[in-house]
Amino acid sequence: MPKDNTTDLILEIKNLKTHFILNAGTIRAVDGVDLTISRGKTLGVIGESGCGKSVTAHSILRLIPSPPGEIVDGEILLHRDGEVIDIAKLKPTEEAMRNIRGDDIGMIFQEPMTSFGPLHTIGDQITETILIHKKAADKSEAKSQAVDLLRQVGIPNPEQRVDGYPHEFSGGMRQRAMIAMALCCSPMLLIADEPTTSLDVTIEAQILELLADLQAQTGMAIMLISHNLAIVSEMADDIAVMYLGKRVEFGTTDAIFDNPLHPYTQGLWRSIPSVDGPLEKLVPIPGVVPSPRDLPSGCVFASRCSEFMPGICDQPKPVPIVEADPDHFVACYLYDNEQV
Amino acid sequence: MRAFIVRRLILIIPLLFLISVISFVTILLPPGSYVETYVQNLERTGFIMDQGQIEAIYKQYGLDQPAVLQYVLWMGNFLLKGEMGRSFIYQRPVKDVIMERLPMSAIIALASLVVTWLIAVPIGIYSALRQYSVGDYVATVIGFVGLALPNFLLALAIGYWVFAGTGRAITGLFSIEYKGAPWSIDKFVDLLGNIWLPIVVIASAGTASLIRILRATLLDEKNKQYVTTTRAKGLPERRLIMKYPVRVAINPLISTIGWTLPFIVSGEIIVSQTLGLETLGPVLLAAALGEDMFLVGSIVMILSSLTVVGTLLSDILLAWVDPRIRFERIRT
Repeated sequence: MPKDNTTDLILEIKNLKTHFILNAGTIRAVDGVDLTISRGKTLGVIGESGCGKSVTAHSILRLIPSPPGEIVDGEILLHRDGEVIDIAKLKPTEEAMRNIRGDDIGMIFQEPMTSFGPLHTIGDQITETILIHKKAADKSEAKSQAVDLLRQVGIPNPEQRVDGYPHEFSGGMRQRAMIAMALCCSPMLLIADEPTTSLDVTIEAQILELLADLQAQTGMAIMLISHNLAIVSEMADDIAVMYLGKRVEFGTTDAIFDNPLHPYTQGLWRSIPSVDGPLEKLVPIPGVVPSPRDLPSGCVFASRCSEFMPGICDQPKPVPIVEADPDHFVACYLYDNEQV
Repeated sequence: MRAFIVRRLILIIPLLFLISVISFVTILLPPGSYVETYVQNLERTGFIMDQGQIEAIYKQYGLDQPAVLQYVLWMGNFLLKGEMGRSFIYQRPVKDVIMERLPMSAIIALASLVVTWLIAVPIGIYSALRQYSVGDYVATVIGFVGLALPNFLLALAIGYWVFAGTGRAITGLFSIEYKGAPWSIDKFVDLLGNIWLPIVVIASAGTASLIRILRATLLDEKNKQYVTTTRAKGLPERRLIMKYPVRVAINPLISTIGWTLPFIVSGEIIVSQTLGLETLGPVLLAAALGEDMFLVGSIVMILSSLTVVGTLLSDILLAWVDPRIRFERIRT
């Protein structure tokens, strides 16, 4: 964990556990995740579908529908103006939580096509946010701010488009408008949950560039969630690798890419083609992800791991988190000197 | 928007023409005619008419003419003079019979529509937001009971309870002393004391389906991505639900106005008959039984026109509330 300057910390997640309590059993979607995000930095969160990336992100803004979802343990500490607020202790509907949403933390989602209410203009939905958080004195001031924001995110003719309805925007334009809405109160953290997954590759590049530019201008932190390794390596300063609700590896982008430690991370790297390297055979990770309803008692990756050590990896207790290199953490017995 | 409305209004003209033809053909379809029924009834009382007298009656009403000519005469009179023929049963112009009763029918119909919405919309929203709660089940049960109970039975039952409890007999729209009396504040108060019963009874039949439509749509909408997005902006929950998913969920209800309008007018027939209301429903029933063709035809025309106008109204309303339906777009 980059510990260099604790005053720059914006968000600390400690041992977060978000479970879905269903009749058929409890799904431990997020099961003991630690993350830290610092001012002006980008944290990339990667992992396969269903590994708990999105649930972690939604937990931060308390957007998990309850029931069945519930934060059963852990802390989500927001550092704001010298005070520390534990979001995990707030009620999802209480005013303190609503004041954080959209104001301190903005969020953009995977589905730009359905992310705006269909019956109100884009401008109305942006100005609404500005007015809730009292960033403008009146409607007309809020509207001119909305026009500026739309211009900033690269929407042509913002004076006219501000009165347009969502269905009049293309997917890429809608995601730009979405970003404008998420940024309208200058949040210190922007959570981007697979922001480009449903967009064309060319649009994807534009959106990522836009996010990087805006970050350089505003100094906000970004939590970038993606299953796309290339995107994360491009954008992120730090990377958290998640597998089945657990954070299996955490370190700087360089460390994670040049020296992946966890067998799962190594497997991920072997399964993507390299553009400039020699042509290699792609190696998929064997096996399938176990059902989160029925997690293995030891290491959750044990059943698919190429380095599986019988009697060690399947011990029915949590895997220790090891700081293998400075600021490079891995949850694996391979690096635990006491075990091997 | 204006072009949209004008285009729809122009399209209505051929539609209404077709409706009038079909109404007229429908009237001619059943065997026999008013005159035959009339003659038979007289014969039953022992009065035998000779052929000359019968033909004179046919001539008097223009029934000796071919059907096409009858239609042209009927329509021509309607378009030029606003006449709709003469009612055989009432022995008065159809127009007078209808105009005498239409206002009260319209008042009951519109009031029922408003009451239906006032009951259905809040319950539908509640049912969707508190799905499977006790309140949801109670609302569902009451709604279905209202749907399943025959209207006239409910009217009779409530009428009986009111009479048993207060001694007030709700028969007709006015108490006996005010029937035919000129309008006064007392008469109006008397009307209010009676008119609520048919309104409540007719409204009860329509609420269940509206509640179910609203509940189903809202259940669908409240889990959509845009609701989460809006929640993530920090909007208070109540405002969020009312401004976004509820607005979307109301739209299917608006499109039901088209067929609700004529249904409310024709649907009150049995209730009106039971309660002895001076509305259009019982007239339609009597006219159909007595083969009073111009009266039936005119009422059927009015009901069909209401369908057309209702559909137009709901389309305009929908275009007004839902930008996705409007035809014009912002050019980029």
